[in-house]
Amino acid sequence: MTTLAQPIERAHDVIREDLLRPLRGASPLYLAVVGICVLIVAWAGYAWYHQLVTGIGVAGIRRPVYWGFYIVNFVFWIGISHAGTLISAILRLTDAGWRKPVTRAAEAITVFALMIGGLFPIIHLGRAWLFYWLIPYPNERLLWPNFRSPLLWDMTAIFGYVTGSVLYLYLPLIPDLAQASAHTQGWRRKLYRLLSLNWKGSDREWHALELAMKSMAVVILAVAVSVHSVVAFDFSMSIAPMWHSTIFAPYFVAGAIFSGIAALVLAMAAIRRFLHLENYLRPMHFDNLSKLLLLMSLVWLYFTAAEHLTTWYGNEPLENAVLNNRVKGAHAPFFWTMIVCNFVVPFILLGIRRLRTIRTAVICGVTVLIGMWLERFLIVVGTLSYPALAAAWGDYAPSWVELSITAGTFAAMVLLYLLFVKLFPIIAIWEYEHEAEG
Amino acid sequence: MKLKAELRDHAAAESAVRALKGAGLGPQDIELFSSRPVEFKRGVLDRPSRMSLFAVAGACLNGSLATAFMYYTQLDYPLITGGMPLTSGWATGVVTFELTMAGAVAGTVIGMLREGRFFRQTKEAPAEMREDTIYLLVTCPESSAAKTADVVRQSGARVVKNWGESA
Amino acid sequence: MPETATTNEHQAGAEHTPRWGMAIDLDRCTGCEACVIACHAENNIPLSDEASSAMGRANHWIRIDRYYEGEFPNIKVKYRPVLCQQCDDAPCEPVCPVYATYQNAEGLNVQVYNRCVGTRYCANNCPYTVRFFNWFDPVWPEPLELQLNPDVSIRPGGVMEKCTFCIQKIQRGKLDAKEEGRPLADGDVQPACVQSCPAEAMVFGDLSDHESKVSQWAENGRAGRLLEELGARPRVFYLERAK
Repeated sequence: MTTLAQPIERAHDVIREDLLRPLRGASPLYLAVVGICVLIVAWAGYAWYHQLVTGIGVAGIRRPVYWGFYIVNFVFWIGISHAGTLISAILRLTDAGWRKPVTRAAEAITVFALMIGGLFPIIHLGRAWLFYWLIPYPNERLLWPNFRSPLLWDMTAIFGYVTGSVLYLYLPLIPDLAQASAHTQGWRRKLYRLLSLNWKGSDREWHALELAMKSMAVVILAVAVSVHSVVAFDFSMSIAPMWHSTIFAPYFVAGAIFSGIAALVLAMAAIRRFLHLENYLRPMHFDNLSKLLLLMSLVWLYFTAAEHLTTWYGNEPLENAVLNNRVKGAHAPFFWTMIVCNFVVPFILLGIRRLRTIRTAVICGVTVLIGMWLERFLIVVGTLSYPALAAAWGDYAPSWVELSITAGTFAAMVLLYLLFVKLFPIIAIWEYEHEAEG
Repeated sequence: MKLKAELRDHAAAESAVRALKGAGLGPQDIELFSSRPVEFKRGVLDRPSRMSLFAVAGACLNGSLATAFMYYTQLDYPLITGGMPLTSGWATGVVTFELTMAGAVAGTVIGMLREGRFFRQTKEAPAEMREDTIYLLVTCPESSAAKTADVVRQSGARVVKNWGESA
Repeated sequence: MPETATTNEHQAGAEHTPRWGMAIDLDRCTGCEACVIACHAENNIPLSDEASSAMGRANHWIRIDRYYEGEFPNIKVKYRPVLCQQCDDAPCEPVCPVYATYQNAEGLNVQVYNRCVGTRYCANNCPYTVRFFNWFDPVWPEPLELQLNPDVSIRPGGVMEKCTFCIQKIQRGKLDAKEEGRPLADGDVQPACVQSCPAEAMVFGDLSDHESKVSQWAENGRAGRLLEELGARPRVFYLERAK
């Protein structure tokens, strides 16, 4: 009896130690990266401050391209936030065991990407300090916001999604926080005890938690699909040429899942390498994610082809202007780079089994993120450059303010993630052990 | 009175629970503590759950509140935009959907906190839990305490008075 | 949910609610841009310099679009003054999240400056690209601030603006008529552009009055509307010879 107990206990001890070790201490590399990120974020903060004080004219937007980098970034980050949703919700619902080491990393991406993406609707406002007028509250003007506007739908959807995602990240974290509290000292112990909501590990609590996660998986899946559809509605509800397309909602959702998986692959590769979790994030996990990435690449290509074929075949003059610019004109380099990054590279590197490794998965993750950002850019700026009346055609170039803030958001994402990894176990200890014992 | 025992593994826990149920105790008297979820087959330790009711109730409540709010506010100060109708299911359906889902989330979390009895203050939970042990807490009348302790011992558990101390 | 019908028709009442509209005869327009200057002077439109104009940030509530046809030496130039079309089914209105633009009882597409938070969705949705944004707080070098029109507000940075059919002149016309105890007559109200056109190519008035000049021009065989197929139901009519 006792001999049976000891090997299991050692294994559990090892697992717990491996997953709690990253919480202790900080290597010089970690501190250096955090420092650089803090600097970039601070510079971006200054750029935004400059914009608030001087006027939004310091950005590169102009007539007719009234939306530029800020909206591109907004759609991009909301798209990245679908990482957690896919992995956690869909794989949880289909009981795919391999998702277990990956869920928390994915859910963390979701929460931080949403927080960052949700900033951009405020950053891009002409009078950003009045953003709260979009929130319905009783006021002396007797005015309510316009619920018929897709921007209000945006606000509601993102609010619901942020709430849901934060809870979806937090709830399965509770048992791990209780365990971490038992194995740390000082301020961490107190913090984890507080956050673990007095978790005692009773079967009632476990049962309630698992039921709640099942229920939330369904709800969060519905919300995620609707959130990116609503973001797509910002464009498709407009009558601008090549925006007013019925395919936008599913197109954007597919693109979001696509870019979300790419971001997840990058995050996981970094976690595996820098936190020395090679035993937990094994090549099998990257192989599965690579296959999903390849699948989404094909789905993305399908939607893109359908959209462009329809536009080309329809031969409508207003849309032709936008399409020609995108495929043959000034934006052509971006368009063809996007095709290469989103389809050609993943198809080759992930489609050929011998080439499908962790390293090529990371390469594809980077190229897909670049490609998806370019796709958003082409959609936003391309259409706005070619409005219906030709006399109003124009172009767009970003200013240092927009570039700084864009760089700042990438740095903020890395920074938030690094802080998260130091504060909370990035792999769910209880889920992992539960899976390990079968 | 409360009886505390330590069980070695999942199989021991299951036999202990069955034995206790055979001795006349029900799920409300039995509680297990562990650092990982202990899942039994149906019929062993079923706790009826009203989680879906909470979720649906939250969803319906929030959804209808949101729709009523939009209906009221759009008619309260009617401003014609683009020739569109002031209240239209198409235009406001998205907001209704989102807030319904948010209500479902809120309902689920409230249900979870209630059914898991998260915030009860209890000293009966083990102070420290080892990963390899499942802790059993039985509530039984004083009179049958000895008999219950025997039942528990027979299924391979160690009856202890104070959890968390090393053997 | 019952669909509350919107109506642009005025309610039955003692006072007649006009439906403002404009007609522009393109065969008379010489492209002189007097209307553009008049609009700038009347509406306190912010100044722009060469750099910001090149960038596309000059605000011209009414602008002359020039299109060239043919090859030298048989070039034809077409001038089209484009201003806010005050559409009945304006695409710019429903997308504003804060109701900063909506249609008032007289059919004008009003822009409420102090409500605008600057999302710029309306400008993206306007097919005529007639909406302009204040990128910075406006600055008038001395002594230009002395010629500002006191009837028109100065828009701060971050706020959208566009042609209002000189709503301040409409208000003034209505008040004058009321003081004098007479109904508003056709031609009483003229926006700055209409008033200043030397070729008399523009008329403005009440489209619901069939005797008004603008109604007659609108029913002319040469009359049509810009981007009619988009269905925004604009209330600016362009008269031009058929090709």
